[in-house]
Amino acid sequence: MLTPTPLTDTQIHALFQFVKSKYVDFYDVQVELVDHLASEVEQRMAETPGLTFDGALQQVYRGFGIFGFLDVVEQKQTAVMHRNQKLWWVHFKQLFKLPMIVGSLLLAFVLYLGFKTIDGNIFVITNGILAFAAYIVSFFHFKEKLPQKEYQLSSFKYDKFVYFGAGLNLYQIYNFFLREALIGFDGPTWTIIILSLCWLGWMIIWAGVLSFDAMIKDQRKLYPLAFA
Amino acid sequence: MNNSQLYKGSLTTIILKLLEENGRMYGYEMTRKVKEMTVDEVTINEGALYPALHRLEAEGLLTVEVVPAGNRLRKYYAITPKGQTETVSRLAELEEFIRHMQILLGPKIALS
Repeated sequence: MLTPTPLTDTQIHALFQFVKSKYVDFYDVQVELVDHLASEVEQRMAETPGLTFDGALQQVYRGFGIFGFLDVVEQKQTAVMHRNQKLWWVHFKQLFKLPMIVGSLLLAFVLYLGFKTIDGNIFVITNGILAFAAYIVSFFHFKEKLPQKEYQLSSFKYDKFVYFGAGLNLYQIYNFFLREALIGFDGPTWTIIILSLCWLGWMIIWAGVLSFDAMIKDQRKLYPLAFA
Repeated sequence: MNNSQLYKGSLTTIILKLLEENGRMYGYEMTRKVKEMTVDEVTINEGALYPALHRLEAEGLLTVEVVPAGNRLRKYYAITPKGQTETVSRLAELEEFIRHMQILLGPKIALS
């Protein structure tokens, strides 16, 4: 087998530009595709003397089929979404195991105590406002930790769990007033349901923050340049 | 990969088996290895390979590592313990499929 001559820095740069021109916006996907293109272009140029870099590149690109890199990008996003959901679920389950369960139970107790101590209306409004504030704080916390703009990574598209958790807590304000204003029902069942949902909302936010932090740690290790 | 649906359906099993036997590998290396093993008879389509790798990674069957390779970065895949278990089960499934096909289509097709 012929030993391929490695591509120059300029040619690698040209490959990055080529991949970007084909709507591959994520740096992690670009890195993988550029390495693949470079390896195969090198091989083809070694096997066919006289074949130009551009000629070899076009040949290799055709190997990706009529949709080019589109399938790779689309399915990468689906895979990342699936992976992020799994990561969140792993952290959510951790909240019910030692030592995290201590914090989860403490949170439930604080919510219960708050509900018992202060007026119910004030409690659900305060809880909703606090959850919304937690979302804003985590949004800026995540924003600071995101990779540089020119190095977008496919993993960083989702803060939906924190958003959903905050939404669930905010929804309890409506739920609470709906109970008083429309149903006129003030039984302990409603209290338990509303308190449980508030607690669940906070647990979703908490697992969201933990999983996002774990993902950042993992991505920093894989692509340090994106965070430099 | 060859146009045949038979090969397409087995791509993830082929990837898992390759990684189980060769340790960590990168995408292009896998395409070369398959060509080499089948004496150019089977070619993995890159447009199918990378989505399959990303899917296996998301399922926790593969782990990844990005290392410098000359003037570029290279993403290596390796099999996880969960992936090893999955490989055994998928290979057993595939062997069973081949055995059934053999029964259905006649005795001339032999298991390699």
